[in-house]
Amino acid sequence: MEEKMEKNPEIIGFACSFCTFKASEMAGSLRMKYPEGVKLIQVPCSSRVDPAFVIKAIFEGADGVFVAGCHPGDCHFIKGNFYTRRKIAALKELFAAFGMKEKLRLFWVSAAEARRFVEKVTEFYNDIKDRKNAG
Amino acid sequence: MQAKRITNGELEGALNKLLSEDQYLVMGFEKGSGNVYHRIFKEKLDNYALTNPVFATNGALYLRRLFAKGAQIVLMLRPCEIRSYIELAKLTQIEPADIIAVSVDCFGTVSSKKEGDVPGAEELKGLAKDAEKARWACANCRERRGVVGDAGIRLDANGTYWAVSYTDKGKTFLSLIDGEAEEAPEQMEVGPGEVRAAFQVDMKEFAKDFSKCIMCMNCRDMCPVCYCVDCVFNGDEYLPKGDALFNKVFRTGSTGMPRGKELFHLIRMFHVSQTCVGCGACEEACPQGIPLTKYFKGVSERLQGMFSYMSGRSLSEMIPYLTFVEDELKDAED
Repeated sequence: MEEKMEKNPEIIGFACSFCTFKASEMAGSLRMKYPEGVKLIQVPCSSRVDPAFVIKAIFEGADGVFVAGCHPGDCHFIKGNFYTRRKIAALKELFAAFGMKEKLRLFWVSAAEARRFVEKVTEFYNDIKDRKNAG
Repeated sequence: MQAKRITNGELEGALNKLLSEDQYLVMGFEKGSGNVYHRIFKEKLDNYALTNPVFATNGALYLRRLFAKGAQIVLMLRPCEIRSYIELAKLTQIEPADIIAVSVDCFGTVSSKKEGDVPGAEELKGLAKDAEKARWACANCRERRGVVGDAGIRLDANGTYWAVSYTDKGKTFLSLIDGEAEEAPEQMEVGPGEVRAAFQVDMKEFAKDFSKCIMCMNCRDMCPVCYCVDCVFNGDEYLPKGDALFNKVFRTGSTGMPRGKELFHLIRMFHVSQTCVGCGACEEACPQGIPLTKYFKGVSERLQGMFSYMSGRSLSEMIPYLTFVEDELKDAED
């Protein structure tokens, strides 16, 4: 076969069960499509995500990882996502120090923003896919 | 700056005065045969040494889970050890109420792995600038001045030691030293550390440096601030062994051994990022001679810089991951 096989990335997403996971369910019921390679893991709050999970996901073979939670100030547990923001921002800085900043993203998606969820995830997926097929 | 001059045995006198009472202990250094070691003194000082030119372990390691009420403990340690103690106190691993922490000016140390004689007092002063002899961690140290903890012992440019207090507990300690408080000179022997450029490395170099790792986890065990009793690397979740490992190989394919080197070090790097004092105890404990300090110190300084935080600077400063400001990090979201 002449045509080069396109490599499809695997993306792990940690999704807050009160917002982003609800948004993904809504996207499903609205029949919106997002890439198959995106695997969501439901967490009770985005601050439950220990950066160790993210690093483990990457070394176990994920091409990209995102952490998604409620918009700052809208956390079900009042202030969980403020801690997430600090931790993930610091983790991004760690990744930047090792030259793999593009592998991690942080999104804020509320339960009503199904379209935003699909857009964000698709954009991340395409970016990782381009990088994977380029080199 | 008000301070008390220490010329001849005033400090030992003060410590002995404390030790004559039953509930007091002093943790400091002892001149042993050939080397200088940590020692916890009871009743009286014996072969006491103010500074230790050899770094083997970080003394704060022995203070973890110290909650005793009633016992009064005086720490006479290096600034990096006092800073680790402060971090552990913030993480509720040490009850600081009955501890007087005194940081002593540090001139840099040599590795305990290195063969040869212990440097003498005169040689010691320029040690930190001598990159050949001093440990990498000491040559690149951020804070070698005795300005952390309750009190500090500083050395001025003329070779006189001064005792300075920073808190009420430090004032009590200073009141035990004979002599009157006077104005200490501005110029001290040990100056502030230099700010280094942001740490940057690529994954290839990282993998190469850590390829020698045998996963003995001595670095974790000897790290003063890596204190979790239930470490994530205990058990089969992160680093599977036996059945768990072979199940995994059946599911995912062949694997090199020992596996998870990069995973282990990156996760540990993140977990200690805000509390790492860059003492280099991990590198000292490494049997393979991996340049661990370069990575851990570099990453922690970069991550602490994000929040203008410096580990062990003061007891009242919150560890960044345990607090937040509502209006910050606007560019965190992608």
